Amino acid sequence: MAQRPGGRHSELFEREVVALLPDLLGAALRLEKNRADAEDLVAECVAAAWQRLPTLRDPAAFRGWMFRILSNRFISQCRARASYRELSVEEEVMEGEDFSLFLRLHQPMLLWWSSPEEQFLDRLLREDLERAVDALPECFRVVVVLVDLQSFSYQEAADALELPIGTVRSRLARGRALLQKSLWLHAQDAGVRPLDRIEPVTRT
Amino acid sequence: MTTPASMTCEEALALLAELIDAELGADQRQAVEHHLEACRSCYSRAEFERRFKQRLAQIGRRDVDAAFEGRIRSLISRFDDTPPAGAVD
Repeated sequence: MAQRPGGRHSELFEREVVALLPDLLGAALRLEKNRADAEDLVAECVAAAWQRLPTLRDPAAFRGWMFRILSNRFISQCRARASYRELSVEEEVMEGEDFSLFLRLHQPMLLWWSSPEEQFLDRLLREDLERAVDALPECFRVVVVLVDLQSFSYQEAADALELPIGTVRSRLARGRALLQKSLWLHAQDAGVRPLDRIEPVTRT
Repeated sequence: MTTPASMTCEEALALLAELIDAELGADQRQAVEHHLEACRSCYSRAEFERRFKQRLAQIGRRDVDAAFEGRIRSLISRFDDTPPAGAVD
C-alpha cells in the first residue's frame, strides 16, 4: 500500500482501514468482550499498523496483516495482565472433549423436515453465540475468532498468531467443541429438553 | 489412498471440519463429498456444521457507528503522512 500512487499515504491507509472497521470491531468485541476495550484495541491496532506500514510488502495482504497486529496486541495485553494462560506441551497435545451439538440434537428416526438440530440453529440468537464465544479461554477464542468469525484459512491464522498450523487445527477443534457444549448447556438451562426426553413424531 | 467408495462414516467425519473450512485437497474433498452424497446421517451432520459456521461468521462483523469511525479518521489524520521507514515492533 505504501507504494500505491494516486493519493497521500494516510488517505489510502484511511480508506483501507475504514473499509475493514466492521470486521476489526467484530473481532475485537469477541476478544475484549466489551465495546470500550474493543474500540481501544482497534484504535491501538490502527496506530501500530501505521507505524509498521513500510513492512507491508503485499498490499493484497492488508487484511491478514491488520488482524495479525490486532490479535498480537490482544495476546500481549492479556499476558501483561496475566489473563492469558499458555497451554503446556502436555495440554497442547491432549485430546480435547469431543462434544457435538449435532449428536445431542439429531434424531435419525424423524422425518427430514422436522429436524431438531436445524430448529436449534434457527432459534439461536446472536447474543447466544456471542456469549458462547466470549466464554472460551483466550487461546481457543483467538483461533475461533480468526477462522470461524473472520474466515481465515488455517495457514492464515497460523501466520497471524505465529503458531504451527497443527496447533491452530487442534485449538480450533477444541474451541468449537467447547463452544457447542456451552450453547448446549445454556439451552438446557433455558428449557431445551435433552434428547432422550423428546418424544418422536407419530402419525395419528 | 482411500477410494471414495470405501470411505467409512468415521473417516468422513474425521475430515468434515476441514471440508467445511475448505482445507482439503481435491482428492480428499471429492472422497468426503462422495460419501456425503450416499450417507444421509453424515450429510445431515455436514449441513448442520456448515450452518453453524455460517451463523458464527455472521457475528464476525459489527456495524460501526459514526462516533467510532470519526475517532479512527481523526486518529489517522494526525499521522505524519510519511510512514516511518523500517519501523518494526
